[in-house]
Amino acid sequence: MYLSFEQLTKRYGEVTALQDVTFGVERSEFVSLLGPSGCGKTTTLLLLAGFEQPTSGRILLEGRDLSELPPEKRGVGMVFQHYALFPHMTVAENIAFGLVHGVTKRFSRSEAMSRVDRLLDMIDLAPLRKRKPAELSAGQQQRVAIARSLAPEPRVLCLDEPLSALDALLRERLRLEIRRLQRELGLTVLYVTHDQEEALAISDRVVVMNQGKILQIGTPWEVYDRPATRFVAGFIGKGSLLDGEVVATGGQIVFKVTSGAKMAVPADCWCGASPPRAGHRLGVLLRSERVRVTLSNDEDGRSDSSRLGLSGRLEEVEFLGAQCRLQISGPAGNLVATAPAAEIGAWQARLGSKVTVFCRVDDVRLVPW
Amino acid sequence: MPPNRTHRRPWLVVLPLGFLALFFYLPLLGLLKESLFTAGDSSPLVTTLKDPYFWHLLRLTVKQASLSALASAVIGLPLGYILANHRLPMPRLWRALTVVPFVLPAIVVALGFILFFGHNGYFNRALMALFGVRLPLLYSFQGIILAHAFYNAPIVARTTAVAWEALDPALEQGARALGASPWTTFRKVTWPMIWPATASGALLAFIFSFFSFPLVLTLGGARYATLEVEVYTQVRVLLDNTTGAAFALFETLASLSLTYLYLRVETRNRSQYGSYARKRQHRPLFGRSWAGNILLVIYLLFLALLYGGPIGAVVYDSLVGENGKLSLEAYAFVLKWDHAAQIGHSPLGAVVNTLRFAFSSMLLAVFLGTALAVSLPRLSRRGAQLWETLAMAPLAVSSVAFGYAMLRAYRLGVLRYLSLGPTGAIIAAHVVLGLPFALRVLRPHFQSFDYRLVQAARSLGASPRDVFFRVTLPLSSAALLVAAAFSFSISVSEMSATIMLAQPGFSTMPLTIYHLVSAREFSAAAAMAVLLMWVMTLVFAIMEAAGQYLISLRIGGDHHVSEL
Repeated sequence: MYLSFEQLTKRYGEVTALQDVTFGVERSEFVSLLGPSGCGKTTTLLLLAGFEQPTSGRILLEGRDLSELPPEKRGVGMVFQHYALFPHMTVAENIAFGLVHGVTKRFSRSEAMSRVDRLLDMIDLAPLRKRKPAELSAGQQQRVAIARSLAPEPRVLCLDEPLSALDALLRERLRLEIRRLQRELGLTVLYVTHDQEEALAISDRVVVMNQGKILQIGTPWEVYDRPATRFVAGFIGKGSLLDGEVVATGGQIVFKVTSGAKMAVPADCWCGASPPRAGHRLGVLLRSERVRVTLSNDEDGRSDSSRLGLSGRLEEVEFLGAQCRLQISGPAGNLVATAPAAEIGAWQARLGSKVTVFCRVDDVRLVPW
Repeated sequence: MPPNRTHRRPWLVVLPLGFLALFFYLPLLGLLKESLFTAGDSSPLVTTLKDPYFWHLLRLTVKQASLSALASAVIGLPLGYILANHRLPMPRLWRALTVVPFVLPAIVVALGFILFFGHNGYFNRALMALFGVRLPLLYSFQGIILAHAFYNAPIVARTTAVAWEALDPALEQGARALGASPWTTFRKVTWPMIWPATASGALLAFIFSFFSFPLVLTLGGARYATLEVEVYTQVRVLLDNTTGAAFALFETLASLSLTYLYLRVETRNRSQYGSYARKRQHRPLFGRSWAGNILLVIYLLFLALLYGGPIGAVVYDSLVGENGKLSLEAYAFVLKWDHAAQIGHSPLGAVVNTLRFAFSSMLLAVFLGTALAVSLPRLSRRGAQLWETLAMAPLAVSSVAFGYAMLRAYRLGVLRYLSLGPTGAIIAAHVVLGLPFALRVLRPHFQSFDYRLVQAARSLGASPRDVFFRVTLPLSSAALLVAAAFSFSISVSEMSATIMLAQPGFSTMPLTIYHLVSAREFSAAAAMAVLLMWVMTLVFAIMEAAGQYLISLRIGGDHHVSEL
């Protein structure tokens, strides 16, 4: 492993910010740390960069323990949430800072300047080289911050919520640009974000964290399709998450929902790390795009061996552009489903009606509570 | 929040400004007149400007103030660094240290320095016993500079710490992540960002040292007089009013221009800091580097000596009797009604005078300050700016010069018709000097006051009067308390203007300490100083609590002692 975190723990007095965090990053891999604020993702970056010392555990980069190295000798580049551009220096001076003042390798002035020129070309800001940061737009500042961190050729590049201060449109454009740079330069990137859509869109792998612990590590598809815990299931993507209880296990998992209805699904619908056991609570995840809604007058019990059926009342219809979203409340809990955009009129006309939500048994995901 | 513009009450502006016109601007005009035109061949100002002695004094004063500012910066800068970056044990004690210049009247500091650093002080006695040498610190140029550093280093520390705290830590982290060493990071990133704040603190130290009166008067002797002391000497000792007036006028012009310079620097600084600053992680006081820890210990010991020494000496001396044993004699002397020859007045009378002046000037200053602060947001921006500057001006004028102008005005000038008497004149002077401080608290409070609450109350049918007493006033109680504490403490520790106005046989607590020090009655002086410190500590404790309360309410912004 190119970069590995080994049982990293960080406590601030009574508060545990990070507990037994272990994961690795391959060379040229793009890994995101995803979680709500306060989950420990930024602490992980600060430990890697050397601004905080771990209470226990260690970090290895190319097989070498970083613990004893001060930040300036680690080769860990950092892009901060609000860019942290030096306000008293020009764009070019900002980018040249690591080349001119670095302790490990220093470049001659002319070589530093030619590198700065190349980086400025790369981010398309060559004409603005003499400007001060305050004279740039937010998006330009962000690109300068990235160029500055790349200048000393860091071994790992950390980005701490780099896009959170930008508007939605710019965010998506810069997201693509960061990914393009990472591919072209073969960068190893650790990317911190609380925006699950961003993490899924940009990463090779995602590390989902909450309350200082890692809940799941996987490709974006893996964490979306097979969330390992109820928190991950709720945090990533849209869907209905119902409260249930395991009734029996074996070739199939039989469970019941709060309405009392029993249902059976194949054993591989279970996403938890340890096998389910009868009597335990579980979460039933039905992704909104994988369910179908029909009008009906029937109660629960439409389930059969190929699909589950849950009844409810159509409470609200939201138009989202590409599709519409239906909010349904039923005895088993609140349900969410998407429907084709063109059906918006038909569904709005049926607000308050009784409906049944169907889901193929293979599409059901069961997660530990 | 557009304040209610429909109900203007002109008297709210006229009253405080009229007061200032009468008791501040008019006396100063009299001073101007006297120093420019007097019966005789040439104007006293011209005569003074031709006098080589004046230039000698000016050079000495500038030199003294520059060195004092430098010493304050050198001593205060590390403290500013520590306050902004480190987790400190006993944070309240450190905060107390940074309000030293406000809490300790200068005359108390002078007394502490005599007792601790004097020829026979505890410091030199210890040196003598240990190494057989003495350091001639007092009654010398170095002594004045050290005392000014004592006073002003906390100011530099605070302005530096405030800027450093506001600095986004990501800037320094960014530099380190780019490979810069801690020293390069400080040189290239941190210092360029914070030096204007340090400089403005040092400039303030320069101004305070330039116009420092009680410390120089007590510690300098005749050899190290500054312009400020000279005004006093000319008027009260040599009874040469015209020369005194010329000196005072020059001082007033100097202080006005220096203060203007300071305000320019300060305004420029304010716009510098980024708005995204994350909260700074405070590191433990002692780090990994041995050299750093040793330097830190030396610095902390130095601070303990510089601050603990004189203050401790005052407290200790107040409790030690003639025979060297613990006793309360000194306090018994200080709390007597009897006339005491050394001070020409009864000591307890001085305490009563001080409290009387403090309460009356506090009430007046807060009342006038509130009137002005309430009405300023209703005026046009330019008008408000003008009136506010006029009301803040006393802050920028040498107190001795102002005291002299006042003395002249109530004896010979327009104010003689008011038959104020010395008591009235002193109270009026204290109000004038306290008003800027009250206004500095009240003005932002009423500016940022949520006037939607007033509108809500009005829309519910309350009269303007009811709204003021039932909504505005209760929500302003904390700000009013802080303003009151400020003007109270200004009056309690005021000595420069008071000494000019006080008639023989009439005293206040700081004046009594001065007289007792002059008579070398150190124990009694120490006892009076301890009483004075108690009064000030109490006042500032109330102020700090009110400040915290203010923050918790999140109404008048966060103004508490450490920011003022």
